[in-house]
Amino acid sequence: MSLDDRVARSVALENAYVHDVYEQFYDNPHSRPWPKVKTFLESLEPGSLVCDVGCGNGKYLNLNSTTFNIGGDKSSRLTAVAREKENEVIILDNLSLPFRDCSLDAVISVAVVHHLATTERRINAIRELARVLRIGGRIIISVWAMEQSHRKFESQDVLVPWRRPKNLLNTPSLEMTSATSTSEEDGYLPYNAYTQTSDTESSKSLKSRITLRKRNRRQKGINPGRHSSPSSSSLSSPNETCYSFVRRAIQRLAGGRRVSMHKPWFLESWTACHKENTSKRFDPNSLPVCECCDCTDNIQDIPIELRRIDDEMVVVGQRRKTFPSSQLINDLPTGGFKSRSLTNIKTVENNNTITAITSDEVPVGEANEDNNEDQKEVLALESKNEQIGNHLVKPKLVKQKKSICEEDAEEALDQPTDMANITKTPTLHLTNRRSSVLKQRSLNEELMSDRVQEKERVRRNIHKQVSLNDELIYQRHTFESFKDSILSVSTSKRFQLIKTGFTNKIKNSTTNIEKVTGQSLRSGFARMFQNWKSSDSPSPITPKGKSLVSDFDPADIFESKCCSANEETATQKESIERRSSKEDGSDSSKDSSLQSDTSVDSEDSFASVIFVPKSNPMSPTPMSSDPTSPKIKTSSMPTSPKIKQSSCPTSPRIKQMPLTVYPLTKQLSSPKPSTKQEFLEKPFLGERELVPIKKPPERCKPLSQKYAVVQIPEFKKTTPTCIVTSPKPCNANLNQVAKCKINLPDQKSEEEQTTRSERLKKIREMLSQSPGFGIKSNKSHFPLIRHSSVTNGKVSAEPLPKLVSLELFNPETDDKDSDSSAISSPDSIDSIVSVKSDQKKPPEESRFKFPTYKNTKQNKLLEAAAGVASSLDEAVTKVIKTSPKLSKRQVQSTDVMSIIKRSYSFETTPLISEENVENNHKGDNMYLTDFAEKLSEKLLKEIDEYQEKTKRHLDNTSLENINDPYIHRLSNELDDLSKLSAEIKKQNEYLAKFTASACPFNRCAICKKYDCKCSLNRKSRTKVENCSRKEKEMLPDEKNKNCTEIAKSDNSKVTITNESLEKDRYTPERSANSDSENVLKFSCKNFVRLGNSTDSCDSEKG
Amino acid sequence: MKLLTHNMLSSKCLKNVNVGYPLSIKVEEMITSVVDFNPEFIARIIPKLEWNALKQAVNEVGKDSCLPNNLIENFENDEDFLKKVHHVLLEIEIVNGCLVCPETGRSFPINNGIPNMLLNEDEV
Repeated sequence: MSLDDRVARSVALENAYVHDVYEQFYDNPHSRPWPKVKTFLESLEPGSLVCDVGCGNGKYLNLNSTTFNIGGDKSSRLTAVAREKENEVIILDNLSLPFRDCSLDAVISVAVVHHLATTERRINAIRELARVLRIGGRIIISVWAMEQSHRKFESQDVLVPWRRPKNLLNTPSLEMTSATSTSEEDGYLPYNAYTQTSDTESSKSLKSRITLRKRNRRQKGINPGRHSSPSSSSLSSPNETCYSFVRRAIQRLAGGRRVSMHKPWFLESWTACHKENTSKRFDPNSLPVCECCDCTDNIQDIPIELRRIDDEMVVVGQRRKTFPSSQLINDLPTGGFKSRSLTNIKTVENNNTITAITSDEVPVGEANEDNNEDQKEVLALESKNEQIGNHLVKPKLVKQKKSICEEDAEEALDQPTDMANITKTPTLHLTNRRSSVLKQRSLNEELMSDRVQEKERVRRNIHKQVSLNDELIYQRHTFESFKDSILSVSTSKRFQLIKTGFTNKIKNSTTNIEKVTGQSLRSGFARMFQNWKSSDSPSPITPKGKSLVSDFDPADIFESKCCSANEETATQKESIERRSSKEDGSDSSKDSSLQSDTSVDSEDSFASVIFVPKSNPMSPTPMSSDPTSPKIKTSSMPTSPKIKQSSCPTSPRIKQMPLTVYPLTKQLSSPKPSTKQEFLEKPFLGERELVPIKKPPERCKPLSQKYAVVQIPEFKKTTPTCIVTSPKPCNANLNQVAKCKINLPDQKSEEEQTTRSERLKKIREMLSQSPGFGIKSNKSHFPLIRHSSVTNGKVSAEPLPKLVSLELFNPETDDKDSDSSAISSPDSIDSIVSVKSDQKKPPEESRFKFPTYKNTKQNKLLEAAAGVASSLDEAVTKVIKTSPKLSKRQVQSTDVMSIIKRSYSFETTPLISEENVENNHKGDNMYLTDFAEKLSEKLLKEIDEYQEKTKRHLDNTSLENINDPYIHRLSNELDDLSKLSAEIKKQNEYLAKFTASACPFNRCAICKKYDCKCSLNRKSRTKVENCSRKEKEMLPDEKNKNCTEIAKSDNSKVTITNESLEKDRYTPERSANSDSENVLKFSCKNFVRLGNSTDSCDSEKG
Repeated sequence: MKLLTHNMLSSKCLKNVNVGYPLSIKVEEMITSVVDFNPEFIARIIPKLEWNALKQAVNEVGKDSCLPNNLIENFENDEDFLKKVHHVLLEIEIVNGCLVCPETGRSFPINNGIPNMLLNEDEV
């Protein structure tokens, strides 16, 4: 057919189905102005000349009395209606607007463009709108969406039966509207992204009546150039929607103008708009936005697809065919004036991209505060945007932004002039974005990849987790079983269990949330892993895991033993609750400073979680470990937050493990006899306690002796403090420690629960007896811890069987193991952060062991030390009772390099031997010893953290500074705790969602959850990951130096959290650390949340 | 139709029309209403006007003596001038008449204060 015929047909269609319909259209008095449009109009500066093209009954003409509003419509009837309202109206045609060029300050086109039958006519309509708009003017275009809350269109272009007003004629009239679907079949990235946007957004958008609006041509124009690359094909694509068409048309317009490189034409109005709240949103979101407008006409009848008609009518097909991209391109240049505007558009797009990012992230992300700088900016933008418009609009914008962002960034880079123009635009967002064009680009890319490939990310995360698990478990045989368990076990149940346990713990320990959570998390993780192992590995490991889980509460332990795997979850919960109560008590005794340490321990616990599986097999006790918890652990491992939650029940096991491991690390780092003795004493104490239950008290005695000895050399104070310190350095060796922890914590948890009260009493007595105890412990703890860790490693030989798996992870892990052992406290978030620091710390501790620090920090440390000491004492007592193994661990060598190797060898071998020997009593004894170790490790970790902090301050700065950072940490930690609680809730919600989604694999569900968080904190994650990678890379090369560096980096992180007081000190690695530090600063909170992920990443990297 | 609207109208979309501005006004019926005077609004509008076109329109409407030939300086502070402009722009309304394209002579009718600017298919 000829062009004329096509045009004639399209005109006939429009006349028949649009204009005639509107001529008889009932003027719905109830139709209200769409809020977005109203906001847009209200954002216009006074004295603006505004034209509403397609004004209908003129409902938008009197919203802003400070502007001169001209209404234009092709329907004489409707214009008459509008005229009756004392509006200035004109009968006009959108395709030939009777205005001189650049005469209007603003143009609104609400639900008009989709009435045009062909893409060409639509493009021409938009071109006309742009023509009459002055440079810097603003325009809002909305078209119907194919996806609407109250109805679904089968195809893009349909004839929608017009709902006859009850009053009016019975004759049905059809209004031709092309509904655009947000999800384009074309596979257009932006659209896809939109569809992929968070459920909340999409749901909102769907719920609300969606009309796609294109705001600000500028924005539209920006994207088009590059988006339109597929131009002709895309335009002619049969699936093309009006929305997409409009967007592309605008893009092309912008692109054509863009080529000319004229000055921005919208600058003036733009700036004015930006000043206004509404303007901000529009500008950034200029691209089509779906708003929840009240579609004045809700058509209940079935729409008629134009395509079917097209076959007959040929209109649709023709129009698409008729519209060659080349023509469009050629046409576009005609508007030379507007090329300037295009440049502006680019700037706008940049802003839009940002906002889009924020919007996407925000809904997904739980805590906005945690977001990185970029995210913060975005948030600010979002907040503004939110005020202005509905959330619905954002998602679409985001999509567009995503697609656009990359292009825009590139363009911006390519065209400095544009950038300048953009900067000129007064909106803060624009300036910020432009300034960080590269950042935006990267962000956009990240967003694109994330959104578009969220599934892929999830998979990647899973793979990473798997790899991490593999690495951790790899050496140990449990890995496969671990995987199987993860896969096989229903993650949803585990997650729920974890959630419940987590929430319970949090609730229980409102006052000492930090400590409790950390411990609970740790314990939970450890339990999870144990359960996994147990469940996964049908071997005796499972029973051990159960026992480990119940370690904290002896009663729980027994129950767990008696109970089957199914019952394990309940037992875990109970144990968690008990722990929380007990922990609370211990926490009360402990100072806030200890909390930070505990947090560090929690990280270890994560690592320990991984190790747990081995420990489980190692442990002879056939305790029915919680199957659910292991699943949770597995899930948690990939995703830090989940892990943290789950960690609560498992922490006791972890603690136990770290004790054994951490001695090894200590030995590696600095094998001081005194410290070793202390450690030995501590573990022995725990073992002793445990021993009466199941194991021989041999170790307990040596521990006490050693303990006393150690304290004397450094501080002369009671052993408990020393013990506490020692475990902390152990924490430094996160990997190993974590592994150890997994095994140990379980045992410890049981023992601890039973013996906590006793331990507290003992600790109190110790404290009372030795006034300087707390101080000494704080200062001397580090050295002591290190030594003790070494000794513990020896001792751990017996428990090693459990730990063996942990040892395998990495040479570095040895240090980590020690840390993990020390880290009995499972502070989820804080612990994560601290854990990292701990890993790095161990080497530092060896370096920093100087007792001098203690003096300065003593006052503050004293309190913390007292608390830690109490906890340590308890743990030690338990450990001593239960852990003959600790003595074995002491055997391990001290050299760092050798330590790593040795730790592996020693831990593995001794553990095995111990396991063999202990087979009779192993179950209970091991658990008891593990519990004791874990407890001691936690205490040690906490102390170590304090000490490390203080040491760092001391080393780098004067002793005086130490106090302040500590306080800051505490405050920060408290904040983090509150945030964590909120996050946990959110996570729970996400988990529920994920569970609902019920991915076949637990990991997937976790990953998804994790991803959600990640998406929010993607940047922070990436940064953190990078930092961690760097750190990891550094470690393997030269453990001693690297370890020290790493420790510095970790310290720096911790300090950063506290307020990055010691940054200057760490100059040697600053280059590498600087990034990490920055990241940490920005993502400190996020980091905590993401700790699991980061840990996993670190482990993977390592 | 107010003269402010007229100041924006053009017949550029007509075939073979380059400018199509300003449209000449043939008044059949005109009313003068009272509109609240907002000096700030008028001051903001004035820079956006084509003064010569406005002047021509005023002449065609028969109020030629109201406005100076050239836009005065510092009109923002000249309330009398602003009031005059206000009167011309917002208070004079053409109810019936037509607008004529200066190049082609195409006439656009004004009925009940609504100018019909629609074009036939063959005119585009």
